[in-house]
Amino acid sequence: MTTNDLPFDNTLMMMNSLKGYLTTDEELAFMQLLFSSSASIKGANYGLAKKDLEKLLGIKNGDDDAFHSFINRLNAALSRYFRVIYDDRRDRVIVMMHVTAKHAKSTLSSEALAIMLYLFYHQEVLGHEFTLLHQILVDFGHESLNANRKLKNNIDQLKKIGAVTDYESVSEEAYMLTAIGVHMFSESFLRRTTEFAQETQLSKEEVMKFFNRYNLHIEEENE
Amino acid sequence: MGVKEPISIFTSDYQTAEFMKSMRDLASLAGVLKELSTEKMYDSPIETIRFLNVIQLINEASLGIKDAIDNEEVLYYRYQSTYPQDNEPPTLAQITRMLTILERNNWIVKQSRQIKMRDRGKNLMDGLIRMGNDALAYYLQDDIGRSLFQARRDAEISAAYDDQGISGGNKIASMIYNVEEAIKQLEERQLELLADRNALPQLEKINQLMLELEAKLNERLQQFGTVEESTKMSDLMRRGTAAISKGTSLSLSLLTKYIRFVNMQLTPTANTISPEKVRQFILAMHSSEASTNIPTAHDILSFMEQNQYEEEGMDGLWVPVKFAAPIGPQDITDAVHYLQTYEPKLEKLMSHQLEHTYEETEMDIRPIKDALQDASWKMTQSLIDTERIEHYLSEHGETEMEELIVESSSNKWHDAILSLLAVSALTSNKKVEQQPIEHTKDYEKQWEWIDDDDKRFTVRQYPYDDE
Repeated sequence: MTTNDLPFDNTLMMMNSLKGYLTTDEELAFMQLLFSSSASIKGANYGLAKKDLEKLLGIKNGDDDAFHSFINRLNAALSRYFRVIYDDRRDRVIVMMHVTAKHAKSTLSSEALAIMLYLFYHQEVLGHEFTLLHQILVDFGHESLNANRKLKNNIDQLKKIGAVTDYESVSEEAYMLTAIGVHMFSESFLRRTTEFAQETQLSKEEVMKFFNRYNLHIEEENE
Repeated sequence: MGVKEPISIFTSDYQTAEFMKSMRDLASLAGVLKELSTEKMYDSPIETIRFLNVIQLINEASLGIKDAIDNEEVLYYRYQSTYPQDNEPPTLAQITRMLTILERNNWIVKQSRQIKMRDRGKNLMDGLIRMGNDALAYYLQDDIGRSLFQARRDAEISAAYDDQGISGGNKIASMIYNVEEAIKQLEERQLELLADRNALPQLEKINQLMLELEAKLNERLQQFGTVEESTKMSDLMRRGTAAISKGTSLSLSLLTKYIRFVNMQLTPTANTISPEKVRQFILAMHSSEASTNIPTAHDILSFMEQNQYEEEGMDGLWVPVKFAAPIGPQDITDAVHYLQTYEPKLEKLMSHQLEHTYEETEMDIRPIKDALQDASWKMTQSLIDTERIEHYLSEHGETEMEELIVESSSNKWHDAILSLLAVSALTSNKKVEQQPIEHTKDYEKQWEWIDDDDKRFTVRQYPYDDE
């Protein structure tokens, strides 16, 4: 996975303007967040726990407004290049980076992306809490041993970047999207994919509504 | 008419006159090519075409398209009128030189009234000009197209030669190889092609070529099917069919995906989304087959690279940030140190042998002196035989000098010299001491003391020397 080819000049210029949005403490907290999101240091365990971040920010007694205000202001300033998300299922605050279509191809295999889309559709659109491995196998028509292994390899790719996690509460093998997984697909990608599926042009709004993403930012604020 | 084994230099009899002539033709061609390969020609391709221009003029004259060429001057002026695009036409001297080269290689004969082309020259000129034209046509193609062009060319050459009973070389094999190369390129570049907004003509061309090739290859292979089957041929046919079917389906799928994408832009914007269609599409794109028009996730990203919707190309995916951990100067220093002082671990046996154990011992300067003396004594002993003297002394105790010399060995004079040497060595190393005495006994011996007083000594071992 390479995210190193982003237009860093622009990114860094945006970073400069962060001063106007954040206090010094908040800036320090953001830098900590960036550093701890680095996969090469923390393995799959990206980001910071909410409590740790609150400590850095000096937020007391779980003041959710202050916490979300920090995240929202960061997202407002950096939205083109970075996105800070809070994964409440794993209790992690993570920085995600925008990757161009060209470079996105080297992040995950085509199959892994298709499986990811499938999980995304199943959980975000149909509203299921988790997806059984068995069901993936049946739907993709992959019941032979080899196909099974290949499918699981691809799911492992997704687990490695933290987009998918095992769902523990059922006896069968099952997967659940993390907050990373929920935010992974860009609006343009979803739009193009859906257009191909429908074989017609669609408006972005329509697609976002379909994937329950329309009120994403408002929802975050209300959390 | 049955298909015969085509004429080929590789299977023909070497001793025939025809074979010899054909090989000499090639040597003659090589002679002309050698002139073409000079440094001047290679650095300036224009020089090469000037040479070929001259050849072409002679060729045309001999074919009767133009008037016969009387001499160099006619050629010189004809060159200028035929190739006005050449700003620097060759001088008369240069043309004369070219003609000399051609004459030397037996392509032309200079007669007094006319420059005449010989048969060998005609054949070889044809070949040379054809080669140039082929190369030009090859380079006019783009990189995927080149392999495909070459494949089609192979098929054509095979048709032009093999069918006439002359071997065109392993043209079918070459054709299949070229198709395989083209498909490899196409596979590698398919995402790139989808990302190119103006790739449709290119894709159409590739697809067209693939279809054409498929027909041609099948036609060729069928003909060869009637020749007595060698395993090599059937293997080739299998490879060819596989390559062509793969290439055709690949190019077709690229084309249909692309057309699907283009057509989509022409549809009106819809307001409803059918979930079932989305589901089906996602399932199809996971394991899309080679010939479908269902794009894979990477294909979709490629289409997005065309950037048709605003900022679509930027909006690829969101991925968790991954920065490389910073490497501090200390880490680098440590790493360099490690590399510089790195020693491979050796087998246990080796390290055992290499190990020395050192003991720390203290001693004062006297024992060291003694040790050194001891060492030098050992060396003296190895040079001078003192054993008999020592032995005699330890048996008899204090002894007179002459008694010692005669009794320890014999009364011969050479034994006496050896014994004296030994005594002096023993004395100088403080193994024995001598004391003067007044009276000595006389012994019968073959030698005399120079000074009789020299024998008035007794010799005895040092008491502390307990050896």
